[in-house]
Amino acid sequence: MDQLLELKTGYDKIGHLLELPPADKDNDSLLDQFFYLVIGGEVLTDAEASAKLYGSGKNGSYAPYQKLKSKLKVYLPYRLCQLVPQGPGEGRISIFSARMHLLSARTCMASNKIMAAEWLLLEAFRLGKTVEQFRVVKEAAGELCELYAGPLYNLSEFFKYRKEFQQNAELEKAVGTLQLHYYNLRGVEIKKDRRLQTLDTNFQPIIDETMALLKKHNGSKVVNYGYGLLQSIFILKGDFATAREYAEEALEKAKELTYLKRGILAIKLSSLILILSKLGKYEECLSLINRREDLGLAQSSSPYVYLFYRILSLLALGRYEESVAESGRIDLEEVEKLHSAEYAASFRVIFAYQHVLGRLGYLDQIDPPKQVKKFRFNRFMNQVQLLEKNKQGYNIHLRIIELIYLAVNKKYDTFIDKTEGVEKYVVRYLSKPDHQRNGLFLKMLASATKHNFDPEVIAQEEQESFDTLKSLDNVAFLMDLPSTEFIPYDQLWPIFLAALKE
Amino acid sequence: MKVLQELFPHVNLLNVLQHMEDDCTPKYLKRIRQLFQRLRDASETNETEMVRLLYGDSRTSSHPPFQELLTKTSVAAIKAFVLPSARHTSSPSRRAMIQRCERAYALLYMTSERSTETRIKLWRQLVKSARQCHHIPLELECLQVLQAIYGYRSFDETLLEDTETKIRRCFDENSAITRCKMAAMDLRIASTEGTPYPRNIPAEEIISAIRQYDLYDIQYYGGEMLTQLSIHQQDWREALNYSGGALTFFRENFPKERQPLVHFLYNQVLIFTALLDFSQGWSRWKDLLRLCKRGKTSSATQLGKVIEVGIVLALRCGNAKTTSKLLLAIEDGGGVKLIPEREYGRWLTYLRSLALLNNDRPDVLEMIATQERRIQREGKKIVFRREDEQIMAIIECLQLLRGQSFRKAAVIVTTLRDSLPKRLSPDHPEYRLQLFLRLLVESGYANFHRAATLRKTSKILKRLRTTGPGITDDGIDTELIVYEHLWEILLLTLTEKAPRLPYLAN
Repeated sequence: MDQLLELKTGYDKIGHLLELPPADKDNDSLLDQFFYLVIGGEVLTDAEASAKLYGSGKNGSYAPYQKLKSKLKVYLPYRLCQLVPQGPGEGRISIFSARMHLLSARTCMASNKIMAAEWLLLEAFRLGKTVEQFRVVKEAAGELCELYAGPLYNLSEFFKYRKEFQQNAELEKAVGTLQLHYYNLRGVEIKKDRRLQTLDTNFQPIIDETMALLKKHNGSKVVNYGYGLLQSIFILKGDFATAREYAEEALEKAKELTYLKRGILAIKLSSLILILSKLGKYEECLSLINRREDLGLAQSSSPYVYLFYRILSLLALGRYEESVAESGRIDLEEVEKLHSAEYAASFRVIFAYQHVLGRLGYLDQIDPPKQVKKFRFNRFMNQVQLLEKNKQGYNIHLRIIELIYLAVNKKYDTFIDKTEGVEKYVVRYLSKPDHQRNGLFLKMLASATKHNFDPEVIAQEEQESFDTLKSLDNVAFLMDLPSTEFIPYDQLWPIFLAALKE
Repeated sequence: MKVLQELFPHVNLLNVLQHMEDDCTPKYLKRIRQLFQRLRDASETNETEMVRLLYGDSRTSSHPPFQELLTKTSVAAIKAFVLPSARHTSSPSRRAMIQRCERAYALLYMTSERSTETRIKLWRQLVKSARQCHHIPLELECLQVLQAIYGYRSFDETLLEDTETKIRRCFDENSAITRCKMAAMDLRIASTEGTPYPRNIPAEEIISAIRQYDLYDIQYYGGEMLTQLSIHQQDWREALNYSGGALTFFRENFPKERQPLVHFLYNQVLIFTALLDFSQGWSRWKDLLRLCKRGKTSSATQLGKVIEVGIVLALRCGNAKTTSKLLLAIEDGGGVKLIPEREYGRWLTYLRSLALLNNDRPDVLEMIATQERRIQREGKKIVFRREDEQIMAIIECLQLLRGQSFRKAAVIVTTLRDSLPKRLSPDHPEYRLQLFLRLLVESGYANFHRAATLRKTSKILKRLRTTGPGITDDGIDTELIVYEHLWEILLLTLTEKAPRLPYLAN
């Protein structure tokens, strides 16, 4: 039943285009009755369906019902997959429509209705081209070649579609290859595979192949996967300058696209913003976010992406009050719905830092929003820790916020208790070179215990560590959200010292 | 208009009206009814006639409301024709299975992109089904969806690696399919155009592809291309080998698929025709005819082609006994309906040739004459190709000689002589025909006297015997009855007496 219900969800997207006659309970066959029950959402389990069709007392294992269900698995897609008109500007429906034209063309060809087949194939070809469905275009071109080499013999048309067949076969392979590398790389990222940084040469063939394909082909998928790959590789290698070059090139290319232009522009824009923030170019980052209207992305389907980077840039630039004002626009429930729980956790971490800033008097000029003002540390720890399995990632921020929060609240005994844990944590999880910056900062925070929480002594004794910290790049995690230093450590250190002074 | 003309016999008006996108006004409805009425009364009506009937005499076929009416009605007719008719069967044909997979894919594609357990299961099932029916492009697409799921949304390293391996395999198979299909198409075009075969045909790659991949498309297009190439090079052993290999593959893996079996059996009949092996060719032809009759979707033209190749086989092998069976097959298949009008001349040549072989069988001759009369009655203007005209002239000449009408035969021989070049070149595609015509002319110079003819033609006959009959790429050669055999028939008609005046002037 699950499979039928899963297929039925497709109907919800195309139902308005279909020509399904209304159910007629008296005259419909049992199969049609079952069909209408499923697409009407009237039955959700086998037991319900069996009882409705065969009367109460018959459960899902009733043999005639099982047979009927296996028939419906074939019948349901046939009833729903009809020749539908192309929806205006709707990519997904155009794709569906192109596929249905190709399917119907094949039905006509098998029945030797070649004129109808030609008409349908030409439509499938045209529709497929507009939505970059290379397989559909290739197969339609292939079938047209067969027609023009056979029953509708036409030499010039044959050569035209032969060329299209060849080109689309190449495009299909090119996109497939890029996608293969792209997801391979995503896998490496998810595994936090460090091979990326140490074994540069492993990725050179991928880079070369991608560059060659980008030079040869064009189109939304090529631009998306191709530049996405190059950016990811260079970000993961820590070469942000090169990544920026590709991100800017990708943005330019995305402007020329016809299909999925807006979506790809949005992806490429957020990639460039990410890279700029990694490069510490926060002013450029802000101006790029402000410029998104020029790119037609003012009404974005994911406004929180831009909001996140706007807040991040403002924090990094020391414009704390502006950043807090922006935080007022965040609805965490909506963030979780539109993005993910991890994304919402990032905003929670931001609120925590902003709360600390408020406590230290950095936000006196404005009235902070309730998320910041009514921040509760223990609730925050529970909410974020529940999401975090990774011992690095958000855990680092939790430790930092915890220590600063304890310092702000003058809970020095608890601070001392936590110090031992932090030191062990640094040794165990942050010993690798990638985390040198994180580890060093946590050690600097923990050193307050050694210097009796005297800010002047701490500043003096830890000056050397602070200089080292400033010289280090943030190379940990690189891509994912928790890797972000929401307030750069160089700025956070004086804030911590100020907390001790109060 | 052509779409409507084609679909009109298969849909009814009510059904078409049900599928019209918008509600029709009474005036619009009236026009559609008129359109259908006209198609029923005169299906060959062209667009100009139709637009004048519907919108007045001053309109041309580009009249926008007429074009809109045509488009809307055509789409509705197509929808009515391709109405879903899924039949649940546990062993569907390959085409039905491809349709099932494609429809399930389209529905799944429309659904949201969450990677639920059921969804993953459905994608995996689709991969399996697509592989089962050798629909590699769809398998690749489904694998790419799974790759996106395993590589990102529900990360699973082992499954991701496994999917990647399968994707790489599909890439190779897809490339091989593209190569085979394109090569087969190029050969079809070259064969139809009569141009030399493209030099860059990747024959070696295709040979290795059909050895490596047991896949429908590769075996079909690769087998077609290699068989065609071997036939073109008159390498009959290789041609038999490739077509036989493909036949074995399809019989073992897709016994329900009619099209490839018909295709390769047709090729084999042609090859045995060229090899003059009647018994093998006839047994293949019987299988071919059985298959064609069994198929619900066989077109009359396809059946006509099959009977045509049977006639060519019988004529080439000089087997007159099967003529009545061939004529019965024509009769059963629908007679003249089997033959496209442009080929009436060709078929008349076949019938005359058959009549020549069956000279001593009045019942068969009567059947042939009936078919001939039908063709002549149906054909408004029967066109003969130049080669067919020559064959018809030769047959007429032989019939006249049989009837001892030597002077009339001499007139025909004179015409044929004038069409001959002065020097015969072995490289000429019609070299054997030219040699035979020379034999005929020499016989005329010998006043159709047997002994004199034998004496005068010995050298030309020797030259004829050094060559062998071939077949063209599409199998329909000018040499219907082998010229050596035709010569033997001619010798039997010659006289022992010398005439008082020569029949043929120098």
